[in-house]
Amino acid sequence: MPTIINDPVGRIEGHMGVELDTDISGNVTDARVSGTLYRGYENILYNRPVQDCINITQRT
Amino acid sequence: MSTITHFYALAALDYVQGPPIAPWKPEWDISYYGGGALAGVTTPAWYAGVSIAGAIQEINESVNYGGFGVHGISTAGFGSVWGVIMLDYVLALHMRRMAHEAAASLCGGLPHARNWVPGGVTYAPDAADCAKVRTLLQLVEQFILDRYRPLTEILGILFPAYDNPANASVLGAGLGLGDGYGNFLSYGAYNEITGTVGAGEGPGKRLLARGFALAAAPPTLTINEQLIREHVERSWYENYTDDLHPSVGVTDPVAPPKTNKAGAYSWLKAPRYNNNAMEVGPLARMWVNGDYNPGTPGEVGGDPAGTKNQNLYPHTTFPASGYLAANLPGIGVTAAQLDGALGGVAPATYTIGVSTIDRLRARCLEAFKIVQRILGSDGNPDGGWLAMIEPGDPNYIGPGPIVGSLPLPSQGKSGFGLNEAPRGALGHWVNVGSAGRISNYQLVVPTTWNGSPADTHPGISVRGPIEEALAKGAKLTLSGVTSPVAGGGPNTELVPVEALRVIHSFDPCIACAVHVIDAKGNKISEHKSKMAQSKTK
Repeated sequence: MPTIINDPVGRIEGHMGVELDTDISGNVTDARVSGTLYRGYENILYNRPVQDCINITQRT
Repeated sequence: MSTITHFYALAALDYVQGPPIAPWKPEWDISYYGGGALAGVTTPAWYAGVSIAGAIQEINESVNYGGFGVHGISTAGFGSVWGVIMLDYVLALHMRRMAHEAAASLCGGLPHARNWVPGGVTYAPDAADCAKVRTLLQLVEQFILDRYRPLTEILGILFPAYDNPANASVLGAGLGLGDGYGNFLSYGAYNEITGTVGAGEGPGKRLLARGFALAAAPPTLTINEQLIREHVERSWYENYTDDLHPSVGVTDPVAPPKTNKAGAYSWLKAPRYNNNAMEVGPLARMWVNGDYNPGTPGEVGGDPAGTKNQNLYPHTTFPASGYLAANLPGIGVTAAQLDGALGGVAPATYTIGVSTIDRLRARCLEAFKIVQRILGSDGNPDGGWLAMIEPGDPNYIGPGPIVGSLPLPSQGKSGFGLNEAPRGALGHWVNVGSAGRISNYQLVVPTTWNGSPADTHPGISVRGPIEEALAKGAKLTLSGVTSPVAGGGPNTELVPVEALRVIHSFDPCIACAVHVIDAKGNKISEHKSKMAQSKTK
């Protein structure tokens, strides 16, 4: 059955893709949502002074 | 600000096609809206002969701190409710800017506040700041009540399939499209001083309660933070130990040559609360707080008795001519019914449930609840949060010189913060090493919960919330899909607007870069999703 891919999904913040499996009538039978970007905050913050967090991690 | 932006700029165009000029152009063909109220229609003529650019200019020139003068703009030429909605799109852009400016007046800027430091703020608002915030938010409040809220109700009438099954409009039955698990998680937000409002738990209650609910049941008003686990089975991270609590979490992206980790398809980890995938966001918060719970037919939120200005929507008689009016009989809707949805004739009523439209309604109602609490328009005896600010109070500024005045946590200390961001539950976990340096930091952010990939360990919710909302019950029908693509490959050209309605209702937010670079700017690795790879073949 057709697999529909929408990547990148528009009108959201960030990068996301979605893959939809459908049956013969076009009904969605399974879905896979993918965050297609890696941020690395955990790695950015490693070994930084702890008081930096409040400035760096806003809007995460 | 995020709420208004989401509904008008991000979600609305899934339901309504705008005119073929900026900012609505590029637009989809009208045939993409199949299955809704505009099914079968090819050429919307509701804007024919009208100067849209002229109307937009009038809006832009009329919006100021004294009010928005849209009432003076003639909408006769638009001929239908859709024309007025398109004007509201432009007005919403002004409203979101005002909400944004109000917040920035208090913290220097958004999305990153400038004046926060551990222990206090480096600038506290004075009387002029507070007055400006009040003026701006009063406009936002009026906009939400007059314009935004009626629209969330009319969408339920015009797209009933996306509403919960307890709501059936004249256009069809409610199918609950996009409902998903009905599992809701809220860490709670807005600690109250007086503890006289909010459902919260214990002294110092919150405006929005902390708690969770499973399978659309009534909420439990506690959270056990120890039950949060992150899985990486389907994520591009090393599988050191699956199922880690964030305080011992590891974020180690798979590096070449292991980029093809079998089964992995997302940079998001899969958080689970006690093995359950949880939806977060306005619907979750309002559900847990009891403001948007089933069993309460009709309008809820700040106006259960309908005593507020429900009928101020500025249109009088639904025009007899015009595109939508001409097509109304064909779709079985009367002008009076649409007028009713807009509050002009009879107040719209709906029954609460879990669905795409419920998510949009709850988001609007939450915005209204919060702005009323800020301004005191909900009648709270404390006069509202803004009135409780005492300009010039020295206690807002932290003790002494801020940086360095607080003792650094010693090695081995750890902490976590659970709060609510606009799109849902937000948690940060930190472990401290030597000399006050971070030895481990993990974030589980709202869209990690909602956009979570699958996990197939026994006893755990398999799909993430958005995935489940799309696939549950195989009832979401994508129009135009029944003809397989020649050659049998995946269809990368079709825009599944039905799926986008569901996805956008969650307001996904994922930020920042794909590439990981070293200090010299050399690209270390590049990761393309399987989908992107197939597209470029």
